[in-house]
Amino acid sequence: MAISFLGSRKINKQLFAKGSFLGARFFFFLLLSLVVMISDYRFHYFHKVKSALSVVVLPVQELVSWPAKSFHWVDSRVKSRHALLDQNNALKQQLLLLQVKTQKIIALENENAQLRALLSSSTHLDGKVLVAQLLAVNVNPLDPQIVLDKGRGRGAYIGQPVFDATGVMGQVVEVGPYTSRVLLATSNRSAIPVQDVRNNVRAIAVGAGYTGDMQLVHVPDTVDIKPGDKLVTSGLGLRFPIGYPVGVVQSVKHIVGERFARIEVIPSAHLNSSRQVLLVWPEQSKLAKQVRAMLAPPHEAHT
Amino acid sequence: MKKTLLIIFSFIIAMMLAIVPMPAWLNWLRPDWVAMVLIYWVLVLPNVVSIGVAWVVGLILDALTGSVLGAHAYALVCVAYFVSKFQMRIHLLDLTQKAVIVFIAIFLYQLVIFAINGMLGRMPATFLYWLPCLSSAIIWPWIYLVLNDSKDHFDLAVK
Repeated sequence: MAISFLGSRKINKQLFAKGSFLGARFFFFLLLSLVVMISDYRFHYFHKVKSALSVVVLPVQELVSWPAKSFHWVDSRVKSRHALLDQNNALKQQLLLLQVKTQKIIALENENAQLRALLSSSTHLDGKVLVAQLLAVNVNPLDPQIVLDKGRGRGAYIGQPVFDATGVMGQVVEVGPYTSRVLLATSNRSAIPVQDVRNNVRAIAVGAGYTGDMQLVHVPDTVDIKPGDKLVTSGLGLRFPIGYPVGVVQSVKHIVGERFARIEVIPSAHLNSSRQVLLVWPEQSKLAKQVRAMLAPPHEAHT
Repeated sequence: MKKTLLIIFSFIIAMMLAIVPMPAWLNWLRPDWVAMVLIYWVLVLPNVVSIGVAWVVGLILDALTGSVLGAHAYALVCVAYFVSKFQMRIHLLDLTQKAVIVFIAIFLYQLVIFAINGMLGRMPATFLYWLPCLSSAIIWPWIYLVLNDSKDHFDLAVK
């Protein structure tokens, strides 16, 4: 008994001898990870490696989003006639409402164009737009990201603005051949130049991280921003087109002894629930012209 | 061969569980599935699954979660080293004691990722960040039993 026990131990030891150089392998792979991390952080050509890896992980993402997709598919197939009729009616009513609103907007747009012509600046821009489906959600609450099912093949690029029906979602930070990764506006890596609709005060909205809202940074205590103010993109930075809703000011706190006010903003886009989003290609030259016109002092704009 | 398939399959399932959307309050409690499956395989088959596998799995996990490439790889390599260094001793422990080891290993894993994020300026400033080591340790016995059963099943099928 004792001998066989010893024998089995010996075999175990021999088996384990195959996995020797443990420490050496450990340091080798640690170094390798460090090299990968530093090159990913520093060098832009590493994007190619990342986009190749995005294809590798695509099946897993597809598998995870498959139940939701198939649920939608089944749901749309087995809906009763009655429900469809109801939905149809509701949509018709909504369409009517929207049409009425559009008429108003056409009038306003005309007026706006005239005013802009007076100010000799360009008209409102309409870039190319593409609807993209949500493929995956990054569940890490510290770094909110989503994955879309449109990639380089459809012309997505790094830094591209992404909207949903109600406002700014974020911007593209990684592009693979078939997918792209969007950094949401609430990530603390995201900063969006904004403008108060009420008085055109400009600021920068930075994501607050895991709390799911945003903050305006470096806004002096004396600036006129109140709770309830709507913030839209200002177009500065030439990344986001002008005038799209970013969020609503929730609270403004003046802290004694600090130079800047603490301003919290609730994003207006449905960051957690939108399944369809819009990829936008703003027209860079027009955008630049618009921003220049906006920044120019009024007396120069006339000349 | 069949065992390799089982290993790959278990890692794929773990990765799916790692990115399945969950309600926000549950999100902080999400166990580190991939790290746990890795710990299991390193304990049971230290000659098949070790540091190299941990690195590759970590790299895929990085691509999946969109963190800086190499962060999860680094953390998983640390975990694999820790477990395979003491594999003989850990393997003799009972299930609860193993859960304590898993707690320590997952804590190590999170500590490494915490440090990397801190260096990149993405420090998670909340204690909720550390919850997964607790939830992982709690869920560990079930993972262990499920994987053990499926492994035994495959062993029988081979013989």
